[in-house]
Amino acid sequence: MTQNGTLYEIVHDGGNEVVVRLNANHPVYQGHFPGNPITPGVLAMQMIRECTGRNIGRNLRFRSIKSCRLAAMVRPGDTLRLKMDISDDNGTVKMKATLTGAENEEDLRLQLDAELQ
Amino acid sequence: MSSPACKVTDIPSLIPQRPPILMVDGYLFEDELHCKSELTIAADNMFLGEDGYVAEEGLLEHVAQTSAAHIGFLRKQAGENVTLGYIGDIKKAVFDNRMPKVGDTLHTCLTVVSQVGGITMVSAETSVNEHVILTCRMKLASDN
Repeated sequence: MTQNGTLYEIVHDGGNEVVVRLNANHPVYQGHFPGNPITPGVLAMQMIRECTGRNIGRNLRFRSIKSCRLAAMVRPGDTLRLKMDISDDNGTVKMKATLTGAENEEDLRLQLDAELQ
Repeated sequence: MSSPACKVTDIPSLIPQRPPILMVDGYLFEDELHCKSELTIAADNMFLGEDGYVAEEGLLEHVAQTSAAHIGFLRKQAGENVTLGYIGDIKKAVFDNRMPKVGDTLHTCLTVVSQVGGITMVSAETSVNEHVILTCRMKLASDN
């Protein structure tokens, strides 16, 4: 299931840099975790994958993840800045991304270095 | 000490995650450093894409919850409570291009590489029909 519009919405689209707001009412928070809602790190990764695909105009899947560091928790209602460095070489997309607080870029949440197709 | 090859199907007794993001339905303790798990993909799995295949993030969550089940199993054996856990990092994840669909069963073999305090490093291999679809390393942090 695409998470754009359900887990998050894009509130500012600057191409390689977008600002997203996480929907606090997404059903995943009923289970992750009951009474203590925390955005699953893997859904933050899915959001980055979808935004990368949106940026280059096609759906992408991860082929490999060199590293993904989840530096701090992401919580429902957070507004976050996603910066993507994307290169598309004959269908293989290399991507490095950082996810930080929208207003404070030292508030690092996630760093990702991956290859997609 | 736990007896070898103890199978658990009451997964919510081992991990804090609940539906709709429960991504393990069988856990097999082998020894303190090794376990196996499985998950049969249901039609309402939240990681199913519009193309009918499970997204890569669903496989990673399955590995994370396998690790959580192993940590939870060992904590329960020690008379401790199951606590919350988080993915700290993922390294060297490689996905096959044949991803699972509804009705497929994931089988995961997990090895604990190191455990210091609340930090656990694991390596994992996930297969469907004996075909490897994911290998990765993962670091998990657990609350005390």
